[in-house]
Amino acid sequence: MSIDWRQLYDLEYPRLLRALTAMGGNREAAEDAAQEAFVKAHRHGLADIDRPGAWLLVVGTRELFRQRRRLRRESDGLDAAAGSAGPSAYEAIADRADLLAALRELPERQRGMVVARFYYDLSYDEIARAFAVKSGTVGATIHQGLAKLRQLHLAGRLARGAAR
Amino acid sequence: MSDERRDEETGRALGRAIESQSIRSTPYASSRLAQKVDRPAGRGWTYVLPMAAALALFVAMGAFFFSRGPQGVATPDTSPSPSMSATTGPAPTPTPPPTATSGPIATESALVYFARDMLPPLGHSIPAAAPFRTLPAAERISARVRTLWGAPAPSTAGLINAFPSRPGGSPLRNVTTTLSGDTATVIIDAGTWDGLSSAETIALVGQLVYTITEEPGIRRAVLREPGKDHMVIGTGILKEPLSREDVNGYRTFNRTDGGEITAGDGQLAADIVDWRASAEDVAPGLGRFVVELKPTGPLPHQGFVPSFTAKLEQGRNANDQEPGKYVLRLELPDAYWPQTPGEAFHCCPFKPVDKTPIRLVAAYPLGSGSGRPGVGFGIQLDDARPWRVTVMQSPLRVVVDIGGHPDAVSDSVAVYRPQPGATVDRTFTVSGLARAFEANVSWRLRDQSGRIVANGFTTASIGTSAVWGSFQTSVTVPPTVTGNATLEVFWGSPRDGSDVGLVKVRLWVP
Repeated sequence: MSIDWRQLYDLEYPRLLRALTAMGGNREAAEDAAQEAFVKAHRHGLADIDRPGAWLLVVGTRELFRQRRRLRRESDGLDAAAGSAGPSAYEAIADRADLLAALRELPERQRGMVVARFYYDLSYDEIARAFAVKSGTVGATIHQGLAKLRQLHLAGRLARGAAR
Repeated sequence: MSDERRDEETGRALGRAIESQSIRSTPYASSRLAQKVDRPAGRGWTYVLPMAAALALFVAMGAFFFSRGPQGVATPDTSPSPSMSATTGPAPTPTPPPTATSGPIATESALVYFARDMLPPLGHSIPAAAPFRTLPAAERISARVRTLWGAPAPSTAGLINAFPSRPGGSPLRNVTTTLSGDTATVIIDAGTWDGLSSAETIALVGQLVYTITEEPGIRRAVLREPGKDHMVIGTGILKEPLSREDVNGYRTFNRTDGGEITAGDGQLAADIVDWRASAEDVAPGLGRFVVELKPTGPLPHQGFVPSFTAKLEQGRNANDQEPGKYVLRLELPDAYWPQTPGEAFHCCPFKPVDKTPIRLVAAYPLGSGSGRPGVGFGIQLDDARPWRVTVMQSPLRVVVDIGGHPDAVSDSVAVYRPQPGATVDRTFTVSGLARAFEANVSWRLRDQSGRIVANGFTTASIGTSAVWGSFQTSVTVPPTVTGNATLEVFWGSPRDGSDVGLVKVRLWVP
């Protein structure tokens, strides 16, 4: 079986990098985790991986959170790096940035599954297989994640409105 | 609204927010994966076979391409020859200076490259320690790298020198260059380069690759740390040879085949009134060549396109007359030099530009013999970038544009104004070139949350043709919008209405 690694990389890398940037908020850390995920895929071989994209997401997510736990002190600066802050940083935090910031407030597993569902468009079954959990757990985890996301997002909007 | 529906809506909004993040993707060649694939361990070996075959094919093709290469440059050879190796740096003999600053008084100049944010590197001549021009090629490459080290960036147009990225770090101890065919392997002994940001990495790699491949006949650079088979710069492990096209930031360009276009509305003899070339005037990263024509008879119709062929090919990259790594040839079979009675065409006038990406433009006759042959122009280029040809009226001009801002150029849309990152007024002008179906060019403006806050369309001067049309339209930003905004320019697919040739220009609305 011949695998075109370059093709896989070109296809999956930008998506993975976006997902990890959204989840962690730090571009350098996301890039590092994404690069490691591909190296691990290469080491593992793709013979028994049926959805390489999902596999890379799970491994990249794990890598990202492992790094973050190691470098917990960085977390102060993390979220600011994601919103492309211009001269008026406060104004620049709009809906979209709020949503991404809210995502980063979720527990790690919720974060990974929400992204897998709505950015990678994976089904509950596929997510269950990729994250090695029961299918029923996936639905509940994602629902909890989204409910929390809405709450945080609303809080962000209210705070912005109040500051004006 | 049901929980399920609300979840779906929140999730979709999140998906869009994730997708809208701008990222700077590390190219495959600089990825850690590429280094692993290149030298696999254990069972990974099976995947290498296709790459090995591709490499073999590439070497074979290289032999073909370079069979008409410059004299004195070795034919492609996979093993470095020790006789072509050269070291400049501290040596037992006191001749070569360890750094440019402590060397003898500079009496020569070297062309090196400086970085710009999100744009391809820009060449600049700076003083270099003599001797420089008379050095053997490998030593001259080392000398260029040493000259670049710590050189103050010229004060124009936001240029920076990322070599070194952090002043005050390790000194530049040694630079050694080995040549093999069109590839220069450069060992730089200057401490480690990890811990750089993506932007610093891109700037540094771009500068080094362009500066090293400035040597005639050298198209690819391999960077190494002393005693290693790679160089770590920021998040990338560089191992494979890199060409200028690997690092110049244009994503939508098939670099091995620059393409060829032929166009024209039929024969109409025309005199060449003027020809001129410039770089960085119209848009950043853009070189422009213009031929002005005066038809000898009335134009058959409005919007007449004179006959021409345009083609990008590898250049000889050999001497002062043919310095280009690539040459874009524009040939006009029905165009003539204004005839002075009794005077023949003097081959071959040229005009220097010496500004990245255009070195010079040389004119030549098409064919020989009696009569009046048509005229060709060879645009000698520093690298291969996406290019396009348009025709402008009154006066009649054929315009060749090469490059542009990588973020503002796709294979069928090129936005020249506003430039990415620009601060715009409430009402601003959008202009550029497009090759769109029925000349319909669409635009939309998104605010910082990704909402579409304004949109519209305009008509390009030419549509559905190999020749690009120019467009210009005015955009008014709604009063509620401030801060980051994105202008998207594209055209709609006649098949399914999807966006084609989409470019996204980041703007700032004060």
